[in-house]
Order: sequence, then C-alpha cells, then structure tokens
Amino acid sequence: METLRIEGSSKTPDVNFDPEKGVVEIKGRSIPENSIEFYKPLIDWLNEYSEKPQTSTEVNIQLEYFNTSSSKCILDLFKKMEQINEADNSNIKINWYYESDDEDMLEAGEDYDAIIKIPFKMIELEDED
Amino acid sequence: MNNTTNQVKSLYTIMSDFYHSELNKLHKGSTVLFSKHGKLKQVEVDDLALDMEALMKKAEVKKKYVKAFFSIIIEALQNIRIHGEGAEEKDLKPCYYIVAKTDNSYYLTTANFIKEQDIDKLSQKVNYVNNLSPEGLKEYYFNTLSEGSMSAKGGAGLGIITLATKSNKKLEYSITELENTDFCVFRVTTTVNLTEE
Repeated sequence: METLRIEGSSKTPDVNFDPEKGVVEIKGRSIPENSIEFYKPLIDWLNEYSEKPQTSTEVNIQLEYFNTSSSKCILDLFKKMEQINEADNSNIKINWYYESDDEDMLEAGEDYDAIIKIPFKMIELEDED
Repeated sequence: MNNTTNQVKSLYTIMSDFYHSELNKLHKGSTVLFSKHGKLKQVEVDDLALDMEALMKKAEVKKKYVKAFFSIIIEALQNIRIHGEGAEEKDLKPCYYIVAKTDNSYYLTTANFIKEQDIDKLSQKVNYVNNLSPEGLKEYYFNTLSEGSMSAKGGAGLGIITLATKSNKKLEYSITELENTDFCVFRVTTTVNLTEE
C-alpha cells in the first residue's frame, strides 16, 4: 500500500499517511467548502490500511483552523481509527497539537476525545509569534 | 430572456437595494473595510478571510480575536454559498457582505435569500443560540457534532452555532419578507468585541 501525501494549501492541510511507519499526520488549515471531496481519499486510505495495519499507529493532528464542514469529516476519520483500534488490529495513539493560546483548538480536541473511544494526548505548542 | 433570468436579475436588484440601505445605517463609528454585493465565488471567500487575517495581525489584534473573526468569515460566507436561495449554482447566489470595524470591534454583516417556508426554522435556531450561555453553546455544538450528519448540501448544521460561539456578542439578525416573491432576505451581523488588550 502506498503513502498518501497531499501538500497543504491556504485552505487544505498537509497530509502524510505512511503505512510503513504506521504514522498518520494532518497539519495546517482545513477550510475547504467541499470537505467531503477532500477527506474521501483519507477515509479510503484508512479503510485499506485497516486490513493490514502496523501493530501500533501514531496519529498526529495539528490544525490551525478548521471549518464546520471539515469538523464532521475529521470526526469520520477518528471513527474509522476507533474501529481499527477496537478490532485490535492496531494500537492507535492520537496526539492533538494546539498552540498555547488557542483555547478553542484545545476544546475542539477535547470534544473529539469525549466522542471517540481512544484517549487523546493533548500537546501544547509554544506560540510561534 | 426567460422567466428564470428575469427573476434572478430582479433578486440581484433587491439585494443591491438592501446592501445600499445597510451601508447607510451601520453601527456608529464604523469604518467599512471590505464589502460587496452580487455573486460570491469560493476564491473570494478565501481571499477575504486571508486579507482580514493579515489586516488584523498588522493592527496587532490579539490572536484569539483574529482566529475567531477568520472562522466567522469562512462560516458565514460558506453558509451563503451552501444554503442561500435565489439561484441553483453556488457561484450565482445573490448576496452581500460588509466587513467593518469600530474602535473596539470587528463585525461582519451578510445577507442572502431564504425561502418563506424556512423563516420559522431559521429564526428559531438563531434565537436558540442567542439565548444560550457560552457553556450552553459549547454543549449544543458538541451534541450537534456528535449526533448530526452531513446534509445533502454539505452542511454540518454547525454554521450558525459556530458564528455564535466565535462571536462574543449576540447575533443580530433580521428576516424581511418581500412582496410578489416567496423569497425573504436574511441578514445577520456577527461581532468580535476586542474586550481584552
């Protein structure tokens, strides 16, 4: 299976899904109007990965902004990861990064943590400004 | 010219009238930063959000307010393109937006057409979020996120809630019914007050 690599833009995040390393990373801004179209290949990749995952998978999410349409798609990604984790196919760890003064992003991570049955590790980043 | 073209043309004219009337009754001490009436393309939404982000950063506005206003622009304008009435194509929906600032706030006013039959549903939703406390809003957002599903139009049902969450003032809105048409004008102002230095 191939690595999924999508370069970020001003409205879509950097995506790096590496099946060899068992690493899933999304970083940047996610504000596309049609988020279903953007996230479909990511969901498809996870579906394929779920058939033969690494024994452990590290998920790194570092978002600066996301729109409400992306919020549903991100939830769908986490739900897929939850399925993989519950099927004992791979031990999934989710790291949710947020900037030190971005309470909204911390709370967004806490919302997902409350919905998804995989514990989230909240990681505070130093302010870059 | 067929009837559809006639109708769309007259809706643009109606929206233009509302836009010019709105410009004449802005909040006291307002400076208009960006405004437009007519049609709205996705690239214009992105550009406006990025331009305002740069402008607010340059004005040394606190980061949390810059981020809040960025989200407000994206949600409000994507809402128009997804839910606005008056044209099938997203790029053709008649609307307007006004981004303005006062000494201690930034605000965005948008307007689009809705159908008369949707008045009750929309006004109930806005009234509901306006009456929630910040904690109540968070809970409502969480419940909608965890229980809701994406609509056929691609909306997550979270747009209005997000506007209320990112704003630190109640949403100001009006719905105006029009003669000789089933469409109404829905306008909403979302404000970020710069309450902390």
